[in-house]
Amino acid sequence: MSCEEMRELFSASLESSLDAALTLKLESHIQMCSACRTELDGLRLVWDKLDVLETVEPPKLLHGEIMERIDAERESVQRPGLLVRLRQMFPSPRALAAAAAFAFVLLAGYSLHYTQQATLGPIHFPVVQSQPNHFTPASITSIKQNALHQHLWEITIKAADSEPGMLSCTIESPSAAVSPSQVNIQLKPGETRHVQFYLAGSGTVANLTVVSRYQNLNGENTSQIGLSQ
Amino acid sequence: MSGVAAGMQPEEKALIQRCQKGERDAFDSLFRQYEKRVYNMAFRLCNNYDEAGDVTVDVFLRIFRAIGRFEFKSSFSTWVFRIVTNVYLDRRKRASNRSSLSLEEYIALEETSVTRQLESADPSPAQIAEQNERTDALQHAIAQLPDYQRAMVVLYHTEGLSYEEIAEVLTLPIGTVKSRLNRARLLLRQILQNQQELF
Ligand SMILES: [Zn+2]
Repeated sequence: MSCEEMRELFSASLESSLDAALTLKLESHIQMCSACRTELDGLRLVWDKLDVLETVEPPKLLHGEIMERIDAERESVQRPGLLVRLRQMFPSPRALAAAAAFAFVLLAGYSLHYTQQATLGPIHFPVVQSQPNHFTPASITSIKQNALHQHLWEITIKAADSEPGMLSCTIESPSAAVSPSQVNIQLKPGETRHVQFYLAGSGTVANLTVVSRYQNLNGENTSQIGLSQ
Repeated sequence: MSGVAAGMQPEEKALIQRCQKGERDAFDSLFRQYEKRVYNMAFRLCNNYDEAGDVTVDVFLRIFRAIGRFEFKSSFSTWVFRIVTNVYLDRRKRASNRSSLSLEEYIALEETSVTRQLESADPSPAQIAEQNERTDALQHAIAQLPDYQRAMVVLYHTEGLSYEEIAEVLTLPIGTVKSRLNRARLLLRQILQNQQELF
């Protein structure tokens, strides 16, 4: 084994986690090779020093600064709930039901292996168990019905600026009334995207089942967000 | 790791659950418990008190926004360290315009650049004196490690995380963590030897 290969064993050797055979190899190499011997001694010294690094005190004002930012953030998200805003946007129950169906498809898209059945009638809105909205990785910023094609809807979705990486989202909708039945999107932090859906028939979607996946670099992937009253 | 999460103190779990409901008091207490560790880790990573403060604030904002998605599958501290590491690495990548690189490309690139740097430029005695004024030799040497190696050294040696936990924080295979940490320690020794003749 070369010196370089021997040096790959150094940490394990200092932690006594090398197996007997490799320990023997390393020991006999060290006896013959002064360069590696010096290196290993040096590493031991560095290790000892690392283990006694002192801690530093955070500035006294830091906690206040953090809570100030949190308070500002809390204030900025205490706006009317999505459903309230939807009601303002869509005065007719049918239009709202259609919009809510799409919102539901998209919102549910942010949960991991999340399956939900929602029955939408003229006035039954999907009520999905929801976390407070300011924890969500993305939000719907608008839902628009195409002026010329009443079955075509456009949803605008925006990823939070705070997201550490790409948000990947797959939205599958087995319902025949919604097309496309599957949409894959990726959002960068802060990115805004428009997704178009075509809603067939009268705008009523019964038993809409959404299976979706959401992933980001943070790995903690499950968030249940949705419409709540 | 579910083993770690299972060992979570019930008080901490209750506090996190209150945070998930959005209770301000709960955030206040939870953040007090973690501020010193987060700040220390940030300082070891940034080697700069001001930047450590900025990183710390960013970390807690990110925790605030993401705590609803914490599922008690890992220990909370592992989750927090992951956020600290991400905030720090995001800043570095943004500063060096490397945000489009994959993790492996990023690690490879920063390792070649540090090797070149070590081979070509021995600091002048004046530079060393200046560095000593600012901070101690070891801290300065840590600051010269490539970002990922630096994060690993800090997590292992100053935060006391296990290899398994670091693998979880950085989403890297455990073998990679062990070999990179070994390389990082050897590099640290080389930096210290080149600059300070301490060893
Ligand atoms: Zn050798």
